[in-house]
Amino acid sequence: MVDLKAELQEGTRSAILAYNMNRAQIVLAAFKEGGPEAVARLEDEFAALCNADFALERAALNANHRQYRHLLSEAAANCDLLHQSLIAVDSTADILDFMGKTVTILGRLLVMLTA
Amino acid sequence: MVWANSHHQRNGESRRGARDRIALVALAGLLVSGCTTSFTRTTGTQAGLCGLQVADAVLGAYEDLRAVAGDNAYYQGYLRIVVSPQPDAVDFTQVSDAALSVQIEQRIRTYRQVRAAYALLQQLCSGGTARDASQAYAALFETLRGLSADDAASAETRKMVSELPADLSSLLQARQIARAQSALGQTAKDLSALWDKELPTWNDYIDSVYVRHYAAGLLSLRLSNFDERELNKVAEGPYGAPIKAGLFKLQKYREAVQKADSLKAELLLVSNALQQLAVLHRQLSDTVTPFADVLSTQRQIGHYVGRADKKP
Repeated sequence: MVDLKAELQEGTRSAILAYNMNRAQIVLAAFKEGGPEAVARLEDEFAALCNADFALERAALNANHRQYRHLLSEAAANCDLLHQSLIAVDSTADILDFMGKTVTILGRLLVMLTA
Repeated sequence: MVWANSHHQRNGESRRGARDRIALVALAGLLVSGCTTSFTRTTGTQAGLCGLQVADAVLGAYEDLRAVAGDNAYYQGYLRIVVSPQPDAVDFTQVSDAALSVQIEQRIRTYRQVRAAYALLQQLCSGGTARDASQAYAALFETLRGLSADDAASAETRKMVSELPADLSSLLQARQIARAQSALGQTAKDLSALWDKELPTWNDYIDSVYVRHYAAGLLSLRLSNFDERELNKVAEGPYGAPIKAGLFKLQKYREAVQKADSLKAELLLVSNALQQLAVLHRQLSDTVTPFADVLSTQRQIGHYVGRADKKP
């Protein structure tokens, strides 16, 4: 059976790596498109993504929960989209959209994980 | 008894270095008297001293893991500044936080109890008046009861501790000490298994902080992010500015990876020390274990603990 949690963790980490490896360029593009506020939003979403990665590690230290299969699949799919988008250095609006969706789903998932 | 026949071998081994100090201290018990109580006290003293060393190494590792949070805040703030088109306006306080202090504190509390238990076992077995021994046993009993209530304790540990008598009887002293030592050995086995189970998660955490969330971000920097005159001061070699920018990034990346590797190596050494402590308890409970094997296990514990103690 596929370990969906591990898949999600891998997806989140791939997205973090992809953002980081293009970070200076993505941030510059955001600045040109929307000024300091766009940069702050983007960087805040990245911090949230990192927090989600940490929360998955924290959850592993707490307890194992098994009620989040659907959310895991959904979040994994969004991570893939985000990853592809970051590799292509798409428009910052798209990146922000995918990142926001992913962080929201991860947040819902983490509420269940830590309940 | 194999132990009693290995006096000459022990004297030879004791010259090998400071690691044998534990064995020499333990042997003092056998020179005082040759009864079962003496044997039990010898094994208890050995387990106590090694357990103290390992508990200190584990506590040191958790302190280092606690310090990782500070590094994360610094590195995330650093990256946020260097990639920003307006670096002087960056709010570097708005960065990610693993918030693992609760988990680390829980584990530190457990290992402080473990350390206290080993100190009491050593105190109980290293001589003194009957009253001292009785008080040390009572305190050890309470500490073991506390440890057996921990999430990490297995059903076997709980059973062993629940069967321990609350008071030290002078007639049954050796037997009671041996049972307390076995219960502590079972606790050490549980904690070793739990440490190994959590090791990949701590390694992931370290890689996240130093490599994925930070060092990877350095790769996105371009020459335009640097001041060429300042770059010339810190990057050596007969190269042009673009190469020097690459070399500077390489140097910073390497430093981060080395820090991560050093921390992970420390956690692995602690894992080895915990495993060997469980082995030592098993050997000490078995009177036919050759003394050379016990000494070898003690040396290994000293080796792992000594290397883990070298802070990254």
